[in-house]
Amino acid sequence: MNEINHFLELVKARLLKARLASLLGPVLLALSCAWLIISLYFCSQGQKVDKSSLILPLIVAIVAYLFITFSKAPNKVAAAIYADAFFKLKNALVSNLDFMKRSDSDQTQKQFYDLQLKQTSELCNQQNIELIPIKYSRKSLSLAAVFLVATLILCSFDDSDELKQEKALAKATLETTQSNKKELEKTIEELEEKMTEEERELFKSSKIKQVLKNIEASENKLEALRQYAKLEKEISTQNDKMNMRQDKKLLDEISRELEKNRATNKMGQMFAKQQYKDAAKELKDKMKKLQEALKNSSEKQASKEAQKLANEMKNMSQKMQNAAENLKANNSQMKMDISKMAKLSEKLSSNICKNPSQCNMSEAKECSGEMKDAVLKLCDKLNENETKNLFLAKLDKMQQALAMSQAKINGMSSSMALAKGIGSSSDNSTNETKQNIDPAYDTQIKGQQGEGSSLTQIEQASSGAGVSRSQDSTGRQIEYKRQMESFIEQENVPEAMKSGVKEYFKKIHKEEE
Amino acid sequence: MSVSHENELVEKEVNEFRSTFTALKDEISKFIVGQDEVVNHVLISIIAGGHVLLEGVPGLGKTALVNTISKAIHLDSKRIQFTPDLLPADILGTNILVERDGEKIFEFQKGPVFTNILLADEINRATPKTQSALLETMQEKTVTVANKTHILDKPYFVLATQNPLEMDGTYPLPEAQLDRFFFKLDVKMPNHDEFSQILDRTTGLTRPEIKAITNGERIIEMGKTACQVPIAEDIKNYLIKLAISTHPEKDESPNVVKQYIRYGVSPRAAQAILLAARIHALIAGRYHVAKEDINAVAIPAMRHRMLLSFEGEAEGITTEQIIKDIIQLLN
Repeated sequence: MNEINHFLELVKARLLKARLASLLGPVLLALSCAWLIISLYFCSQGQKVDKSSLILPLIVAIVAYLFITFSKAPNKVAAAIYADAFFKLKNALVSNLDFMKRSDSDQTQKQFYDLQLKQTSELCNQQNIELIPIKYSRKSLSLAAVFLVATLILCSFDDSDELKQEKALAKATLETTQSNKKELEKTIEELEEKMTEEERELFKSSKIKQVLKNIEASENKLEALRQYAKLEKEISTQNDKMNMRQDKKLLDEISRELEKNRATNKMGQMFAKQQYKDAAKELKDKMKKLQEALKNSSEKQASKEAQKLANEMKNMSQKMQNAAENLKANNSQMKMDISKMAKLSEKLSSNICKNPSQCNMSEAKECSGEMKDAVLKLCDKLNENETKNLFLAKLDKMQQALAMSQAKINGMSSSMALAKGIGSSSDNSTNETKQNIDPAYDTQIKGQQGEGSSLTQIEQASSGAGVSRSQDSTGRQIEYKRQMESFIEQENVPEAMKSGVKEYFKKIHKEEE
Repeated sequence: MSVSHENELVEKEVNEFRSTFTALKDEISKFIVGQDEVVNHVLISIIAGGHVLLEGVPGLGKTALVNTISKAIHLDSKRIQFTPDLLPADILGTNILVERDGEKIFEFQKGPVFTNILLADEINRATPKTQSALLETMQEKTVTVANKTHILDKPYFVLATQNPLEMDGTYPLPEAQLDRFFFKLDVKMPNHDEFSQILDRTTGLTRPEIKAITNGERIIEMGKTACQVPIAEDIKNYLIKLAISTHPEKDESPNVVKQYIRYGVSPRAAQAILLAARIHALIAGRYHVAKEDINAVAIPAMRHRMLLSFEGEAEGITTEQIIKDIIQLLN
């Protein structure tokens, strides 16, 4: 039995070898075919074959090869059937395996089994296992070798020139976006350092810092511009939140009205110079003096100083009200405060007139109290405006830095394209190509329009995957024109934006020179 | 008795079996030229206790074969030429009135079936009544006349012949009766060399003398030994598949069977195959039954047990061809 078992084990091992050999060809063929397809794909894209992409098919092929081989590895019975057929043993091994399992046989049967075992053992000893053929699929192997050679040739190809340029552009974009982010962060840090407590409070509530934190370095120019647009939108939103447009118009109008009169000219200049805090202080001082003068006046008639101060206040309030009335559409709180202050100053002035019989000092004092409240409210508004003004100036600085970043990205792509355009062909600069503008290049993505000032955001689309494209001078002109028009169409273009655009054009001119 | 000694006895018995069989064959071949396969299968049938239907044209040595075998086995043999007017009593025997000691009594006069080897020549020429009388003796190995049963001698072996050419005025054996034959063998025309040898051996002054190699008892013993040859489950399943594949109504049967066969073989066919395969294995010197043994005896055991369909008959398909196709498909 041991001899038969040993023989069967040898047959099993030999059959496994034969199976490994027979499967090797088809598996190698499948693997080389997969490699060839992958290599062809990379080459068709103009790319150098990525060696790591060949590893996965290799692993799959090895696993499949081993799985298929060992999942159907021959067992003892299969080996016996094969050996019976191959060595022409006339079912001796299969019968022997079956007889050895039987336990309830009679004596004669057992004798037959023993004799059969002996006979089968002798037969097994006469056989040469090496005769079991180990066949390699020559067709598959030779075809696999051909595919492998083709793959190796394809792997030796480098990236196309266009792709190299594309990669260089992506690398440059990445570096620029990284430096841009650092610069923006630095700008914010510097601004934060210079901020007053009140400004810091205002800045804390904004999402600008959070948006900046989320900006990531990108190889994709479009993505970078999209992120900058988001930041720009946030700054713009913050700008709109200040809601200063109506107040500014009113304050400008007030300064004009006050400057017309000699008595109020000084105050008017303060408004013109946007020294609202000084103006508020002046107003407060005047109101304090008026109240003190009223206090010091007799019960029947106001002192001359009180009358003078009341007239000054009345005059100033009147001018302010005139300015407010000039702006009919304006419904700001400041307009209402001015209106209230004007009424009260009118009333106060009439109560402390020169004729003592017409004076009503108690009412005047009461009126002065109410007026003081109105003046204080106005002063608060003025203080707030100056704070906001200063904060907006800082936001403008940030916007300027952002515009610089955007200009860098745009300028970089232009320079890359320009370099290609010059090197490739002089025909590109003719007017014939004027109409052939790449639709991808002509893409204009508009940002969401906020409630406040409308803002047109322009993002330059990528020039397409895989192949970079040269841009002729006419194409650039069209692009600049489009960007210019989009900026002109904007309302209330901030100074920072304007300077960003100027920088952008300066850079372009330098490149063209 | 030790195990090795017992094994030696069995081995000796098997060796004797093989040597007896070979000696018988050699002795028969002294007179019968060629027809190796027929001789082999006839001897296997005798050992298995079965009967053989020989089909062949007259003059191919069927009677000579029977006589030679009977001499080689040292058994009694008789021959009946079947004719349409042959009656059952003519072959079985009958009660005749005899006077013994002044008293008239009926005494059973044994017919030619009371022998060891019976040659039933042209069995299909007799009426079905006579055929069935013979077939009863084949199956039961007894003869019943006037309510008295007479047991036939052992071994009892019938070798029936039928002529495939002259079919006019014949009564073809029905399928149920054909099934009782262990083997149906085709006796083929000898080739040139065999023909030459036949002429040399049979037309001279001297004829080869056939010696008795064995006897009836030994033949029965050989049959018992053969019954003990083991068969593996796989091989038994193969035999069952082979038998089932001949049935056109079974899903596993091949298309050729579905197209050309009306009825497949009975379990009796499988029994015959297994028994014959065991003997074949011993002759080949093996202690187990192999597929080769089954394939070797499948055709003579199955060819007369399958019924061709009208389409098969019309296209001249033979059951042998179909059996070969099935064997090829199963291997």
